[in-house]
Amino acid sequence: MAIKNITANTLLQINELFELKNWPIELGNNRLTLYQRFCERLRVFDSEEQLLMIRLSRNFERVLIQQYTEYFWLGYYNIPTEILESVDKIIFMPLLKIQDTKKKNKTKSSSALHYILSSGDYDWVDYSNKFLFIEDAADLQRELKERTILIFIDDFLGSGGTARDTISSFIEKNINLTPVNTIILTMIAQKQGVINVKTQTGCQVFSNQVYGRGISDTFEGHMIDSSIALMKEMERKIAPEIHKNGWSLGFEQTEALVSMSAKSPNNTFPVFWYETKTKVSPFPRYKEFKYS
Amino acid sequence: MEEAPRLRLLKIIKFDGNVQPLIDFGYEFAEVVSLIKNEELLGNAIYKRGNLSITPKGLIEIERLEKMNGRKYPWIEPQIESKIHPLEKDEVYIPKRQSIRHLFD
Repeated sequence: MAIKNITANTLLQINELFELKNWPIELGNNRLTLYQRFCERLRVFDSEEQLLMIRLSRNFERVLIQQYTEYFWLGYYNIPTEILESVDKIIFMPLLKIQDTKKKNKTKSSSALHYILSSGDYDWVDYSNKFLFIEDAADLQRELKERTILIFIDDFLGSGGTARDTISSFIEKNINLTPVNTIILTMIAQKQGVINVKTQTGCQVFSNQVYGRGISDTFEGHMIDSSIALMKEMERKIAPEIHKNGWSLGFEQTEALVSMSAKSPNNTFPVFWYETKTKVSPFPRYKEFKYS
Repeated sequence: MEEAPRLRLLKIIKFDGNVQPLIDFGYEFAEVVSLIKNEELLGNAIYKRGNLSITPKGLIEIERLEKMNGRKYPWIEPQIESKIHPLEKDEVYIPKRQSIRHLFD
């Protein structure tokens, strides 16, 4: 049996973290709060591992759904004015493969963001008189002319795979997407993903925030290797499936520290989101944990 | 807060012990934190640069509570920071390879 261990000191460090991040410290009364989820996750680890998790959490970005518009338009302002000025039309489309645009049974985060933006108030945004929000590829084909720019939007860009596949799926259907008329805009992007998209498609990615890898690009010297080894050990403690499914250190070793509207992308370190029936996580992707 | 769990709390602060006994007692983690903060306000504990410790005032408070509880041998302290859960009758303990790695080195 594992010894469930959180010392008084660790608890105060968690408290300090929550105050720093402005995360709520609230009582659950039989409901699992973020605070409880976080403590429960730390209980699985020994003190050295707990310290690593707390340290990484200081850089953790938790974007709430009510911050979406602000985050997104801040990213929009990172697009050079020359690009937006030189066109007559700015088309926003969710970053979705063409074959997925018709699927109505599963809402993707890019579609949700697209809806929030198109239904929101954006009159104050520069060049908003050129905006056109469309979801359908047929509409795009009709609208995509000279002096038009297509902006694919999504909440998060991890390894860039979705962006690459989306662009090639449109090109396969003879929709003329080029690095000149197509860009990608996200709220948060991983540095490696931005580079991947640029080299694989030629298209530029703009984002409100661009983050490097949580350990490899942040820690220094021997701390990198030892922390990576420790993280792998922590993953093993939660579930062997993390390694089997290739999620170790996040999908494609992205080492992301992000959660979007209370749901983590799989690029985030799995210790933050992987849940089992008995082990609860602070920022779950899917709620697996069952109250016993 | 009742006297018995409060004594526990102060001892947990003193030894940087596991807060589990208080959780088992029915407190939530967020409650335990506010209890610790409360002891800080009372001057019984101090948290500085990521380190929590008991103050001389806190030690006196522990003594006072112990006397009140009328423990038989107040000079013998249970080492609560080393307390672990007892094994079930049929349970076999096999340590994780990781934790006994030093035996093979």
